[in-house]
Amino acid sequence: MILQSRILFALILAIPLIWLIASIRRQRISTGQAVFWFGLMLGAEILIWSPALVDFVGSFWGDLVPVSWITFLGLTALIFYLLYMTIVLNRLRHQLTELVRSVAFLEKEIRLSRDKSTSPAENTP
Amino acid sequence: MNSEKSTGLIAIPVYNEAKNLQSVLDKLIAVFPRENLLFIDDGSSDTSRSILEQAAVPFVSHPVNLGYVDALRTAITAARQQSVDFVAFIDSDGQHRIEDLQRIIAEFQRTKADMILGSRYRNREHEKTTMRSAGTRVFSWLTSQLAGVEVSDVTCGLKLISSRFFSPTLNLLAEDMHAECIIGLSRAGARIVEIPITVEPRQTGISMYHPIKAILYPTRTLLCVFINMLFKPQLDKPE
Repeated sequence: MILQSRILFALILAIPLIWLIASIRRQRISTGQAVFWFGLMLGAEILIWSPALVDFVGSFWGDLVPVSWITFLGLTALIFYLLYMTIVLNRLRHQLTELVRSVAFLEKEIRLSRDKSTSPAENTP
Repeated sequence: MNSEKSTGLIAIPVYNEAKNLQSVLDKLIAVFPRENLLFIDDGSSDTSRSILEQAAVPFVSHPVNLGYVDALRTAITAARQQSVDFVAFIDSDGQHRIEDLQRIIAEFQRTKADMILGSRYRNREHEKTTMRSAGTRVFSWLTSQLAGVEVSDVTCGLKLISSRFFSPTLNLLAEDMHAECIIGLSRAGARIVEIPITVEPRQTGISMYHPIKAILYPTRTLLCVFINMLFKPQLDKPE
């Protein structure tokens, strides 16, 4: 892989990386999943900048040909889609957390007003 | 709380602590007025909720388990709704002493510090080091370097946060509200104080920390710290 390709791949990787950092900050992705995605991107970055490592892995598995452009684009598209789905799932989780919290506070209010109506003398502050 | 000037909320996150909860509850209501307590039942599947109902103490109950950090966020949200001056956290496993909680509150009344942390290791440097305490001390050292304030026990659950820092705490990206909270609030200008406390051995049940978490926890926390450091913390505007 020539320097031009490496820079291109690194730039392509920078897009999901920025997206990931922004999503973590907006709490659209949990830290556990973010660690996974960071690890994946770090691994990809290492492979991009270490052709020797790619050759080693290729020969280790029986001289497999390193990735072609089509495979690379296919994998990139899949990774983007998976990252998108992870963010959607985490946004839903965040909304669920807010909903659970609201339900908990409402349930407390209902419980207190029910207690007040049944035994007002006991609950006077 | 004992002073006319400061009002506070003592928050106790509860998750499947039925065996320890009654004794913790008895100790707390013997010392503090019930209206100053708030138990957060985080979707317990045991009889924790029934114990709270029978004791007639204020509590909120998450219909499902959200995790420790979201239980703390619920407590801070409640403290903000009640417009109290501070929220103090104590664990429901019976390992924290009520006297230490009282000392933390007294420290707040005296110094008006923005965050007061309990420490199992302060003034006890000579004591035997276990694998877990070694990990905590290393992580505490790292936290101290990033926060610019000396912290000796970063994972202690006994802590107090002043109302000025409710919003920044809620806005922080947090894994457990320990190191990331200390570093985040320190960067937001919080005055952080640490006082020595004694922790009792766990009577029953199992700790939320286990070997896998010992590896994942620092990684996830450091990620939170890194992301939090990229963005400026937002303070509440004075009313």
